[in-house]
Amino acid sequence: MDKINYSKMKRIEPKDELIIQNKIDRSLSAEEEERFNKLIATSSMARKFYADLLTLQQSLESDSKRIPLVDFSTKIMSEVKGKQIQLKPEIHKSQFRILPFRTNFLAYAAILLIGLVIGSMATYLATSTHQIADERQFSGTISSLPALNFDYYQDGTQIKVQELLTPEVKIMTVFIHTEETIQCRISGSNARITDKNITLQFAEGKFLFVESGKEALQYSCSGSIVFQIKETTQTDPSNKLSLQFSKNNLIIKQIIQN
Amino acid sequence: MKEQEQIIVENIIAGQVDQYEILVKKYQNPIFKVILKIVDNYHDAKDLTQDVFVKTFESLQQYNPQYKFFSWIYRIAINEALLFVKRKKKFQQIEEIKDHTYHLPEQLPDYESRDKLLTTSINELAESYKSVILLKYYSDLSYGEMADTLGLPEKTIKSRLFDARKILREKLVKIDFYTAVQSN
Repeated sequence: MDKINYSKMKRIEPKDELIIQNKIDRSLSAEEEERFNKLIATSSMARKFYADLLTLQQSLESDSKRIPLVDFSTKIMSEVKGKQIQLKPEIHKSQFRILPFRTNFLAYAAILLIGLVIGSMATYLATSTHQIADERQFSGTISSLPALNFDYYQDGTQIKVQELLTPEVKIMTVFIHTEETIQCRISGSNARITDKNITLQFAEGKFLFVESGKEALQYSCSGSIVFQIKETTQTDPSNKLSLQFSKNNLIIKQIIQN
Repeated sequence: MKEQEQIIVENIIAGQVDQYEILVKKYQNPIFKVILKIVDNYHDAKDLTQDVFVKTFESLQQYNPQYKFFSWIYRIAINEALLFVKRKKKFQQIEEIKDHTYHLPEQLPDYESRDKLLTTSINELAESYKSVILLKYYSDLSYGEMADTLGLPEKTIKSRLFDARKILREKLVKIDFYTAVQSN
């Protein structure tokens, strides 16, 4: 079959693409239906685009239908029944309340503890740097770099970011305590941040990996969450981390490393 | 008012383990299909689906009833499936194919080889696009349900699906998928 030369065909306008996509979704208004018919009658590129999308839609639907229905319920239930001892109602029931006192207490205790550890490490590294420089025993080992520390509190959402910087490693610890769901988008200016750079330290709530585009990772968070972003600076020392927090599609805070 | 699934989960945690079967029966097929498309092997998908439901049961106390149960188990399933693929690749020490060239079989491809091309192309999509394709076509969710599952507005889901279909179509044009379909 001859191949179609797409380069010689006129491009389809984005608004026309939208109409074709809506046609595929069977969600065209009467007015759009008219526009669609006109488009198909006059543009070969639109006809090809529509035909391809329709084929794609049908292929996806038939592929899905060809997957045989399964029933693993007997096997799953027999495995699950052997594990029911782990679930004790008196313990778990209390955790169904949204952010109870015990959860808050544990979250703050964890935040305090991690903060203390990071603070001590930062102090130790800063002190070590001076000692090494004064004594001139080593060169180029550790030096203190400007670190980022930041606090945000508004409308029941608390975010705290603490950073530890050395020439070898960057660790950013993020503490979140929020009653509403917030989105956290993490990106690097030069190097890509992957889920390997992220370690969840504590979670009483939700910390869901939402998506990973080419440039950023995104998590959906609620409750009390503590996670760390760690990257070595050997690969790209100039890479600057950027954290963007948003709630209901509105950016509430954006932090970019100095 | 409490959602029906929230009551079921509370009952399971309170000791009525049998009620977990309601959730298993309701979600095993959409979860299995999504896993199957990612791991691309029936037996692996079968084992993983069972593991996901057992793991989900074990972590039921971590479930936040503010969100749909499917949303939670879907994320667990995706993470498990992606982790499985990553481990399998590492284990088999398969080098990543860099030129992404595909060749159709010499004979006219049957639906199996077309599905294979489709699966490969879906798995090449960025995670955000792959999610909407899998949820729409393999888990059979509406835009509203997809928005709930991914924690995104319905409008974003719709435009993401449009982009995903467009990118997928471009990929399929490059590998002569449409020629193969039309030939049959």
